[in-house]
Amino acid sequence: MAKNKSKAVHAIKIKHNAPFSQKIKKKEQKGQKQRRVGGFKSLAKFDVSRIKNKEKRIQILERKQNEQKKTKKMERKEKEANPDREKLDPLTIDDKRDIDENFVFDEDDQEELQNEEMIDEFQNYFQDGQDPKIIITTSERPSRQLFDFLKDVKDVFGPDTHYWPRKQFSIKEIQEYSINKGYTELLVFREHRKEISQLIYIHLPNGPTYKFKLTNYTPCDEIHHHGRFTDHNPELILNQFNTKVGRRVGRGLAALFPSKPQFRGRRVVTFHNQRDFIFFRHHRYMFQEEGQKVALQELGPRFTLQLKQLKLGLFNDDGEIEFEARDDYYVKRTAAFL
Amino acid sequence: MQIDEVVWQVINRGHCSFKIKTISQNFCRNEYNVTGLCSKQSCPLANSQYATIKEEKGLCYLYVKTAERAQKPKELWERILLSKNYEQALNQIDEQLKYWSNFMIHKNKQRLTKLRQMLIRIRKMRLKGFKELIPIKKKAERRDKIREQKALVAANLENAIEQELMDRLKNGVYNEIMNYNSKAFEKVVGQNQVEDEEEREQQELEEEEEDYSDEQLIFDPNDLEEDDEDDEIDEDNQEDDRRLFKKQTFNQLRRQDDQIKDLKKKKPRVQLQYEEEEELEDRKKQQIAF
Repeated sequence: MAKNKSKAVHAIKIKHNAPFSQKIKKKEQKGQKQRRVGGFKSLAKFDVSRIKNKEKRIQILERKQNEQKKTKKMERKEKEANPDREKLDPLTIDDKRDIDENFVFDEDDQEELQNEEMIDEFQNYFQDGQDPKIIITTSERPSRQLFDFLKDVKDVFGPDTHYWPRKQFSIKEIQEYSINKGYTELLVFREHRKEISQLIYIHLPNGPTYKFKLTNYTPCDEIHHHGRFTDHNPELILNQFNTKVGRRVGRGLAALFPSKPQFRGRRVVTFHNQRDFIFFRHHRYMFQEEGQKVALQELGPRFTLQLKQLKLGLFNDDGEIEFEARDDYYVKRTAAFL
Repeated sequence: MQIDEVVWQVINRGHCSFKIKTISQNFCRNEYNVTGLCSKQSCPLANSQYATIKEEKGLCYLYVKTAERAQKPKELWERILLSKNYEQALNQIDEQLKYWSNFMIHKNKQRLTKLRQMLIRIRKMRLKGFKELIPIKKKAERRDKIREQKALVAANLENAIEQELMDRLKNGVYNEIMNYNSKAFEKVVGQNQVEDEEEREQQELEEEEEDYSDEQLIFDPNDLEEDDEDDEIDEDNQEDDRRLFKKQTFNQLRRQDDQIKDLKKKKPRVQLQYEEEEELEDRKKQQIAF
């Protein structure tokens, strides 16, 4: 009788499916958390925009955001719990840059580079120490704003710089005349709608032509606490010209200034390249606290340059184009060629 | 048989595939048209006697069409090369189109002048070099502007410049002009101070004979405290600091009333008097002994 009763009891009981119960047992053995009924996965990598139904989409978005908040809190607690954990520096765009064969890490190692630079167009300046002789012109019919710019800029370069008005001559003719008169550099400043916009820099006897785009010009007067500079030859700082093309540009810009700096004058001119933008700054420096600190006073104008074209040969010649900044080059945020 | 009237009426009223209608005027796209406008006199299809001028590779040709050749479309247009000399070319036109309507001759001469002017301009531009017009792309400009600002921030210019200058100083680029090798500097300064000190001692002994008023003698106990802190540093530095410190006090002794008042404002000071000369001498001895 008792057995019958027990059988009846057994008969009424609902049996679990064998595999399911086994799963639970296995998980308990492993020590994992039991899966919640319904099975919520984490929404961290779920693309909410896949859902076409608006209401549902909003729902799931809310859920996702809540989850993100929670994970953030957890992470923060972890951070505070271990203060000794190594702090990683955040990655910047400069770190993510593609590094080619053109990138120059250490100039001393690269003999080829050094040999090339011995023979290049600027050897007169770097090897023999010949001072540059610069001629400055403008586009046709320059405006007052251009003249103001020239007033600021002309004295920054060495003593041997002269301004000649443009007067309907073509650049080809100007090149000829300046070579005859013994100039070594030709700078043409061009403007667009009364704002200075371009610089064409031609190194004269055979030299390469650079086409720059000039932006963000602040004149001396608008710089707070600016100083007046003297005639001393300035020192040069050329920062972060990393690739071969960059080095060409850097050398070209260095060749605009007199070859021997006079340290007494304490004048510095910097061309700093950051992500293909070349920043020009002009300072006077002073060492303080027995050489522990430097104090800088800004002197001249500020502007930025972007290289648009580097071509061998003079302006009109069909020389080989070493670098031309096309639109596709700079679509990527991490692109940098100098 | 080709009757010009009929052709014109059909083309004009009906459909002409070379005709372009605009609000003010009708144009003709036919390559043999002299004027380029759509009218009965200048339509090459509706005139069996017609002439134009066309330019190929820098040379001007006179194309002539007559009614006799209307049946042979391949030989319809006779091509005559005009001379490069302008006047001679005009004479050639007169010859070839002798007894033709004035309209035809005049329009042909006009066309010739226009084409020649165009050729002169092309030659000039090729030789002199012309300004290339490049379009401004708004999106690219906007993008560049923003990137420039970010690059400026990332560049950290002042720090970069300062670092460069400090590096150059350490590498000894400025050694001829500035003496900022700190150890050497201190040594030199120390030597000088020893010499100065001996002189000073003599001076002090001489001057101690004078009477100091209360106001001039200001001794700051704070300075003495600094003295004690220096015990932890190296002996050389200690000596130098002591001597410097000594310089300080002596300078303070020398200062005038006005300056003393200014100094007073800065810190709270305690006035003490040296009454005995012996104390001073003892202090000196102690410092030197260290």
